[in-house]
Amino acid sequence: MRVRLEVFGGDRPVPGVLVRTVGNDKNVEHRVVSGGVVELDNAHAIMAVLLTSLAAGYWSTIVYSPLKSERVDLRPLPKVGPISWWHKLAGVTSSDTRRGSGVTIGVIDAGLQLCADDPSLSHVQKLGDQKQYGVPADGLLPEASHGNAVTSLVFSRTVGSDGFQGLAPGAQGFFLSARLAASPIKVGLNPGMVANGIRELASKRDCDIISISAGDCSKPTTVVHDAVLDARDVGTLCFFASGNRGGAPLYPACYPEAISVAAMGRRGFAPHETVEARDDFQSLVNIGAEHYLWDGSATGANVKFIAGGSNTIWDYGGHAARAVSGTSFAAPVAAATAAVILAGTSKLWRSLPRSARRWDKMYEILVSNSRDVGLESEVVRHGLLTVP
Amino acid sequence: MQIFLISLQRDARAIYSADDLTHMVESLPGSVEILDGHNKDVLTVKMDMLACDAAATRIPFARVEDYYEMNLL
Repeated sequence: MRVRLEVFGGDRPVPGVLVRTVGNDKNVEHRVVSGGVVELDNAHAIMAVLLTSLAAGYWSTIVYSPLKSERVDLRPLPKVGPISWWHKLAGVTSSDTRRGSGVTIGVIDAGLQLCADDPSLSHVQKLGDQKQYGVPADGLLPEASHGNAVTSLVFSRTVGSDGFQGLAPGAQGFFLSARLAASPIKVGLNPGMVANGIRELASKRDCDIISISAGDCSKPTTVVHDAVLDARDVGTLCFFASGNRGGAPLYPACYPEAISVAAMGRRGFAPHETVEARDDFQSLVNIGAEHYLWDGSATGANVKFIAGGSNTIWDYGGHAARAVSGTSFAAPVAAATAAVILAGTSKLWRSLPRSARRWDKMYEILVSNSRDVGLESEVVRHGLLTVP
Repeated sequence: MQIFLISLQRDARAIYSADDLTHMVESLPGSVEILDGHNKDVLTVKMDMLACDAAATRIPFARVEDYYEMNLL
């Protein structure tokens, strides 16, 4: 028997839906469909279907024990932009597309397929071949949108309430791809390309800050560590996602020179009936009265800062694309917040030569602009970066 | 054929350059294909066991590791 689900957002079919079934292991599916129609075989083995719009602006939903034919209505993401809770948490309270100007940020990730022509990211210079990363013709894979989400959270210049602005839209920006086209693994970034990319961005492009949302390696990523040390020598701060497996950060986030970032969320932001609300329910660690520590976030004395990263919404073409959770999204939020802080304090560090001394001064400025959110220093060393 | 990461050890950079590393790798016996990193500090190289064994002995300033990836988080 087959199941047919028609996935709608309002009166329109939702384009690009990620479908994951839960049931007998042999029948688990994980694929993307376009046109809003999902057809599944072996209906008797399916206990539930998880439906996620990849970039069209809806919360995810679960259909339990689906009927033979069923219409599913996705709930739209809130139109509360261009500034939302993760901006306000970082001390940013109003829209300003010049915010962060004078500072240069580099982002290293898998690719920028979806937003290659996004006008709100037109000021970001793309380095490397963006089309070599094994993305199918319809361009819709969760992995393909990861780079877009990260980049948008830093740089997006959208100004309308439908979309969400990056934390540092005025910063000069670079995006560098570090995914190996011939990869036999195809899950993440090539550490060699990451290391070469760090050196390119730090030494040749004069980036003040680099953000990398990859890691969770159980063995040392020595080539990346060497590059982070080189970056430090030319005054470039490297931000890393702390990790998504809980516990202590793995490599490269655990290196002392890596500025690793844990993720937090806002209670009640995701509506109760959505899949994304599970982040809220699962976290037992309150941060103040309104926020929580994201359940999967790696923490420890090596984790330097914390930032919004659970149910942050990235922008695609001036519209809300998707709510995303993970330390992948806390790292760029923190990196961009750091850029705004450094843009406002440039007299204190800009005159220093590009060197480890400048790195030390910049880091000192960031620490002095972080606030205690009630977590022990063994959980997050310095707290929440906050624009004064 | 397997993929490896070949990099200059940090303390060897005073003596050897990234160009030297690329040249030495290209000169290895056996089958060698540089997938990424020409003349950069880290090379991603597809090579057979003959080349892999030779890399360990002929390029003493280099570090040779099995290919792995950093997870997107």
